[in-house]
Amino acid sequence: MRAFRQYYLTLLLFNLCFTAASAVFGNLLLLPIIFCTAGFAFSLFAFNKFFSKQYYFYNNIGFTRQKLAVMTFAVNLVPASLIFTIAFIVL
Amino acid sequence: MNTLSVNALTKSFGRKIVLDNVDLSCQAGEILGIFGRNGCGKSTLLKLLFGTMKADSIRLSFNSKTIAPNTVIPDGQIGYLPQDPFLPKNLKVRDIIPLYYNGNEQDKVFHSPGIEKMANTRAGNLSMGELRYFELLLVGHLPHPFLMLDEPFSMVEPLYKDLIKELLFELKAKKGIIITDHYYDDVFSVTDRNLMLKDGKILNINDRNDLAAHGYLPSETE
Repeated sequence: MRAFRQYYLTLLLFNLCFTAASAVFGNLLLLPIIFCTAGFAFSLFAFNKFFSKQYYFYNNIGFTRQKLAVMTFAVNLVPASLIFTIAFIVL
Repeated sequence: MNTLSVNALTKSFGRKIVLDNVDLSCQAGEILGIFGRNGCGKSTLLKLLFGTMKADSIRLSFNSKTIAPNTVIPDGQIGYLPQDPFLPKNLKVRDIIPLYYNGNEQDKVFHSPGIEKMANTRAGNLSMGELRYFELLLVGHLPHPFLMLDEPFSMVEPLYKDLIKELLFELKAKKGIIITDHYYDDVFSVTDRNLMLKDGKILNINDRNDLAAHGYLPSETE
């Protein structure tokens, strides 16, 4: 799981950058949805673009690309709930 | 004794058939070398066995039991050292090892020759020799019964080549190992059996004369 955390944090960085940039243009209440959809897709795209060789690092310890993506999507629901709560309080 | 077999392996890219009905097998306790010119399909073969590339046709079996290529990674059947560096470059050696091993298992890597002096170096700052050796230590000590190495000797300085060879002999006691590399003298020095890929087919290789005869090396008279 420590290896997954490393993968997740890399994707999270890309996702937060995308989601934060989206905040400039959109409704704050949409941020959790952006974080879980377009931001997630962007983070996968960015990892594939810049770190695709690193997938072998995770493959060797049993993580397929699909498994990593599914786990990331599932874990993303936690910060998405937090973002939604914060946005709801702020607004 | 564990045996990995692949039969009827075919892969084409467009009209080009890279692997044409290839059969091969590897047993635990054996190091199998695979030679071939650039673009002949060596790396493709390894990726197909590892399940990260889809074959046109493949029958993969482990101890005579058929397995699907997409189960190789989740079931931990084969470890794979790819041609290109695959470690997170920003992490230090000492921080990478715990991502692969728990508790005392880390000692197998931490206490290997040469690791202590590179422990505080980031993976992106290791020399090619250090990096390949460290990558092989990481992947090699995992419990996979088979290991595939794509160019483990390429661009590696002699001192690290010797360390890699010693490690391969140690790992061979428990695993079956498949190696591809253009450094044929290094490959011959560790392998028990050798093959060559040419025109999509597998050929048996006994020595460098066979490599020359099949056009991989210049012949002695040239």
